[in-house]
Amino acid sequence: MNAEERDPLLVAIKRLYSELDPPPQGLSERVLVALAVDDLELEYELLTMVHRSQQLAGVRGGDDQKLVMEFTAAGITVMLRISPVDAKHRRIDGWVTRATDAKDSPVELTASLWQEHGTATSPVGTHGRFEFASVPSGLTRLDLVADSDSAFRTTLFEI
Amino acid sequence: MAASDVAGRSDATESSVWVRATACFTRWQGGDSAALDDLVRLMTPVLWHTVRAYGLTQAAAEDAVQNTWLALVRNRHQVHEAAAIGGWLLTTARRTAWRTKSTDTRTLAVEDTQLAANLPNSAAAEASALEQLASTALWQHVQTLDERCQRLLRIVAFDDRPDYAGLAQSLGMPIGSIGPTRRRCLDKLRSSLEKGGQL
Repeated sequence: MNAEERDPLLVAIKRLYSELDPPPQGLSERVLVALAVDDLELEYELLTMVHRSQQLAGVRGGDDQKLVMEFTAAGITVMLRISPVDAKHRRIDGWVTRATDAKDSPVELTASLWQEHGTATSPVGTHGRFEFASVPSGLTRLDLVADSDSAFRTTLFEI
Repeated sequence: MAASDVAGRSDATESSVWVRATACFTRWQGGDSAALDDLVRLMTPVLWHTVRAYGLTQAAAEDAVQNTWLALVRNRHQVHEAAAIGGWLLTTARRTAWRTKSTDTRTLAVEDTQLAANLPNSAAAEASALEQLASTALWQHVQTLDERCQRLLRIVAFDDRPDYAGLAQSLGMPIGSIGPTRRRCLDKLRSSLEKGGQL
């Protein structure tokens, strides 16, 4: 269908949503950063964010806000709880749950955190737990790498 | 309000988005890495509106858009013809959005009240008062449509050549009903606008 045949009402709807719900500022730039730091030689499965919410942990509000995120890919779910350490640092507690067939032959996983100023790693414990006690706030990406050739990767997210 | 205020403006750039996407992809395939940047800047807004139409939260929508681009960079060989690039991106984005939506039952529909708050200062200084009035009126009528209509119209508004098979699967509708539903939704909106004296 070319422009001439297009229902003017659809054109108006397009304009409406462009005004009402524009992409967040800097989205294209964050995509370009994500592409630039994606090392193509590493084979991985993409983890999709299915949930992100703020949890108010205490009565003081503000600094007590915990961020909870959940990512999934085939056979794996990752939960992250991010709590403020101070104004510029965050603590990350993570839980990995794998599908039952993968549990039968457990593979050791390493959690690796990519940030603009460097990377940090943490082994994933037998119960699927891992933690980063204090990492800088900012754009972050989580990789879960197995000893074998399976790996999982999130998109960039702000903590 | 005259018809032209709500729905009469032409959209000259409409078809050229797809043409430009094809040109960017061709350049990228030819080894021009800057062409990928152009493609990202051109198509990211279209992908955003597509995944938001499925009711993803802002954070999940941004994730779905990023994942779509990562998938393209890793699977560019899957796009056999440059002209198919727009469709490939939208189909991938829709699939991701649909998967997210079906995994997380807590994901709320796009927050209507939050959206409405964007209206008064939308499009900043360039928008005339009349244009804002037209948008506010149209939004009121769009909101009277059921969720399926709202979703379908938002998707087809940004995708003038939708892949009906993929659309049908991700919306949970039979493929044959997409066309009739689209017409029915547009008719409903048009008659709502007419009743309200907006058309």
